[in-house]
Amino acid sequence: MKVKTVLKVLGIVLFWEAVLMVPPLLISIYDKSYEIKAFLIALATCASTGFILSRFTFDRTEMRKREGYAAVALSWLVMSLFGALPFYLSGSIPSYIDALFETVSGFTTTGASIVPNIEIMPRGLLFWRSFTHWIGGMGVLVFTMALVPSIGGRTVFLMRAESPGPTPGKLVPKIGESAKILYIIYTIMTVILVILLILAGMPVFNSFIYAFGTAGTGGFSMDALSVGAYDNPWIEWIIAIGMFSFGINFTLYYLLIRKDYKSIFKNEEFRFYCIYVVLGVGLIFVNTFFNSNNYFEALRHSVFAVSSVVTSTGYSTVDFNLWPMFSKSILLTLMIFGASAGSTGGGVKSVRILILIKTLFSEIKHTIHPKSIQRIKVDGKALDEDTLKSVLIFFIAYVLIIIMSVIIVSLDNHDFMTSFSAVIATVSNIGPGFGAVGPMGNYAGFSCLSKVIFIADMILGRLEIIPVIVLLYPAIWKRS
Amino acid sequence: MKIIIVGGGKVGYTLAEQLSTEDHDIILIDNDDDVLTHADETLDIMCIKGNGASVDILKTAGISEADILLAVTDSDELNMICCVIGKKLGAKHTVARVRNTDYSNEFKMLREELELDMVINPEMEAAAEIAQMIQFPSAVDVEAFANNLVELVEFRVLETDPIINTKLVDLSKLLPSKILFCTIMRGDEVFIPKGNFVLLPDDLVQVIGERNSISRFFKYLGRNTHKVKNVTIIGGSRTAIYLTWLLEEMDLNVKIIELNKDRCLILNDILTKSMIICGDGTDQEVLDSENIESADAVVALTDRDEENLIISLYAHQCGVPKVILKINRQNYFPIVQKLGLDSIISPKYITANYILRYIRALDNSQGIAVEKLYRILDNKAEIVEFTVKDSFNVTDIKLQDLSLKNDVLIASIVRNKTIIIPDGNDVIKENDKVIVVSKTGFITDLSDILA
Repeated sequence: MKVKTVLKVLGIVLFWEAVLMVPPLLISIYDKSYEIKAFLIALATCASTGFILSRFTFDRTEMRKREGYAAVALSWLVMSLFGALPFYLSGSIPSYIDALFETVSGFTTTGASIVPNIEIMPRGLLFWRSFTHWIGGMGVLVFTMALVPSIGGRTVFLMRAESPGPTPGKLVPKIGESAKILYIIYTIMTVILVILLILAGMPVFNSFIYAFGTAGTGGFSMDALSVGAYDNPWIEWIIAIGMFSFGINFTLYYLLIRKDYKSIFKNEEFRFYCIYVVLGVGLIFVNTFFNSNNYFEALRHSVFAVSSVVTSTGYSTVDFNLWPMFSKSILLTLMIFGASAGSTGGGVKSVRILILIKTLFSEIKHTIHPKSIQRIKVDGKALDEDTLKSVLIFFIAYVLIIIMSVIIVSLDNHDFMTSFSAVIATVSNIGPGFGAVGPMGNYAGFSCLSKVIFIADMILGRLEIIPVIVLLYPAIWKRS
Repeated sequence: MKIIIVGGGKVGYTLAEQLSTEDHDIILIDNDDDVLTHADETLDIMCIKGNGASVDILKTAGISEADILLAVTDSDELNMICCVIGKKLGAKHTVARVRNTDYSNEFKMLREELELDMVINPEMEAAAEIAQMIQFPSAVDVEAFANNLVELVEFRVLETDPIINTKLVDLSKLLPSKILFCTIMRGDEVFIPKGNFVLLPDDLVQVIGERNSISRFFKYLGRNTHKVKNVTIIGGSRTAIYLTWLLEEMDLNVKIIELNKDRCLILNDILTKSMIICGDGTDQEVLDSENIESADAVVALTDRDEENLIISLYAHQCGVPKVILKINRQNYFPIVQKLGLDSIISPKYITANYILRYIRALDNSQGIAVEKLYRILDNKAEIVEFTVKDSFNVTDIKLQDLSLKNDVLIASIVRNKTIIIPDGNDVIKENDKVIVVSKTGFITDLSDILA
C-alpha cells in the first residue's frame, strides 16, 4: 500500500473537518459559553495536522482499490478521534472513550448516545453533535470531492467505499460533478425540512438540530423525550415523511430533476422499499390500535416508528419499548432491512435484501428444474457474478459481526433483548434499540469494552464492512 | 464538451484517457464487462454497457446533448450505423473509424450522404505518416500544414552539425534556403527561440518551411545526401497497400515481401508497378537473397510486433539507413527506442491522435477564429492556423515594427497559395493565413500575439 497516498487523503479530510467546526464555534462565541476554548484547540489541531499531511504528493495512478478503501476507513477513524476533542476538552463528556462513542455515533449517523442528561449540553456542542450527522450521512469524502475535485485522479474507489449499496454509481461522467449534485440535492432537501419545521412551530435552533438528525438519518435530539417532547402532530408528520424521503436512493431525486419519471417507477428497489414500509406500518398499526382509543394517533405513531427505524434514524414519539412483542419483532426486522442503497440510511439496504430473496427463490426453482438457467435480475438487468457474490459476502459478514459482538457485549450481563438490539442498533446505525437501550434509555450503562465494540460496529456498519476489515489484513500494510 | 465514445478498445481507451484529463464529460459505451470495469476504475468517466448502435443505449447516454459521438469499434459497419443514428438523435458532430479498403475511395460519399463529420482510416493515416518519414529520413517526425504547402520537421541536433554554437540571426545568413526554427526542446523545457538563441547538440528542434527548402537545409547539414530510392516493405497488410500507392506516386522502387501466396496474388492485382515477393520476411535467407542491405529504407508491417522487431533489428544491423516498424503495443515503445530504432508507427495511436486534434480544434474554435490547432512536444507547445479578418487592426505593418509577446512566433504566412517564411520586412494582409507557434494555452485569437 502506498502510505503517502492515504496520508494525503487523511490530510485533506482533516482540513475540511476543521472548516466544518467553524459554525458550531461561532454559535459558542455567540452564546459566550464555556466550550469556546475546546473548539479552538480542536480546530487548531485538526487544521495543523491536516495541513501537514496534505503536503504529501502522489501520482494519480497510485490510488488503487486498496489505497482507496484504506484511506476511507482510516479517514473515518481519524476524523472521529479529532471530532471527539470538543466534547472531551470542554469537560462536557469527561471520559474520552465516551466522547469518541458520541462522535462516532454522530458521523456514522447512528444516534446512540451515552449522555444521560442531554438538556444541559451547551448549544455549540449540540450543534456540532448534530452537524456530524449531516456530514456523515452523505459522506465526508464525497463532501471533499464535491469541493476539491482534484483530490487525485482515481477517486472512484473513495466514493465506492463510502457510499452505501452494492454498486454505487455516478450520476454524471465526472465524479466531482456527481458529488456536487448529490450535495446540492441533499442541502436543498435539508433547507426545505428546516423551513417546514419552523413553520410547524419549532424554535429555529431546534429545527436545525432535528433537520440534521433527519437528513443524515442519525437521530441525535436535544430533548430527553426526542420528537415526542413537542407533542405536535405536524412536527411528527413532517419528520416522519422527512426520514422516509432521506431513505430513498438519491439517484431517484436526480432522475426526478431530469424528469425521467418512468425510470423512477420502474426502480425495483424503490418499490420494494415502499412495500415493506407500508406493510410494517400496517402490521404495527393493527397490532397497537387495540391499546389506543385514537386511531389517528395510533397511525401517526406507527408511521413515525417505522419510518424512524427503517431509515436507521432513531427518533421516537412514544416509547415503542412498551409496545407488544409482535410490533417490536417487526421493528427489529426493519432495523436489519434498512433503507435504500445510495441514501443516507443504514442497515443491510433494501436492494441487498431484494437480491438475497431473489437468489433464494432462484435456488428453490433450480432444485426443481436442475437444468434451468436463471440469472438474478434487478430492474430488468442481469446482475454480474461479482455483484451477486459481494452481496452474499456482505450479508455473511454482517451476520458474523453481529454474532461476535453479541457474545462480547454479553459479558456485561444485560438481558438478551438489550444486548442483541444494542448490537443491531449500532451495526445498522439506528441508535435506540429495546430494553435498557430503548428510546428513553441510553448506552451509558455499558462497560468500556462494550463501548469499543459498539464504536467498531458503527464504523463497520456505516462503511459496509469490507473497506474496514481490509485494514486488518496484514499484507495491506506492506510496501508494494 | 460532452463526448460519447462507442468502443473501449485501444483507440477508445486512449481517447477517453486523454479527453477526460482535458476536462470533457466522457461517456464510454462497450459490450464487454472487463473493458468497462477497467475504464471505470482508472478514468473519471461514465461507463454504459450495451450496443452503441442501439437507440435505447444512445438515449441513456444522453445523445441529444452530446457534442461529439466517436464510433471506434472493430466493425466499420457498426461505426457507420452508430454515427447515422447518433446524428438523427441530435449529436452535433460524429466521427467514425472506417478501415476496410473497399470503402477507402468512398469517404466523400460517406461524409455527405451519411452526414459523418469525419471518417478516419487508421491504416491510411499510418501509411501517410510512413511516407513522410521516408521522404525525410533524418527527421524524427514530419507534419504538414496549410493544405500540405508547409511542412514542419522535427530532428535532433548532432555534434557534427554546422548549426551549433551560432546565434540564430547569424545562422539565417549561412543557410542555403529560407526556413524558420520554431521550437526547441532541451531536456524537459520548451523554447520559442529569438534571434540570439544558440543551438546545442542533443536539442530536439522543429523547423518549418516549404518542402524543397527543408530538403536543401538537410542537405546543408550533410545528413540527407542519400536520397531514398529503394524501399522494401515486409508484410502485405492494408497499410502496405496504401503506402505503396503513396510511394509509387513519389517514383520510388517498392518491393513487398509477403508470406501468403493468395495475398501476394491480390497485391499483384492492385499494385501493378511494384515487385511482390512471396516468402517469409522473418527468414534472414529470404531477406539476404532480396539484397536487404542495398535497400534505402525497410518498413516492417507484419501483424506481429515481435516479428517486426526482429526484422527491423536485422535490417538495422545490415546497415539500412532508415528502418521503420509498426508496433501495436504502446508499452513496447521505450524498449524499441533503446535498441536504436527511432521510427515507430502505431496505427491505433495515430488514430487516437488524429481524433484528438479534431476535437481540440473543435473545442478551441467555438467562438474564436482558430482554423487548426496542433499540439507538439508533449502538448507543451501549439501551432495554430488563423485566417486574418478585418478585425485584426495591424495589417500592412512591417513585422519588425510590431511588438509581439514573448514565446510567440509567426511561423509562416500563406497568401494566394504561396508561402512566405516571414522576416522583419514582411507584413500581414487581410485574408492571409497565418501560422503561429506558441507555448500552450497562450493564444485564442490572432490579436493575442500582440504584447
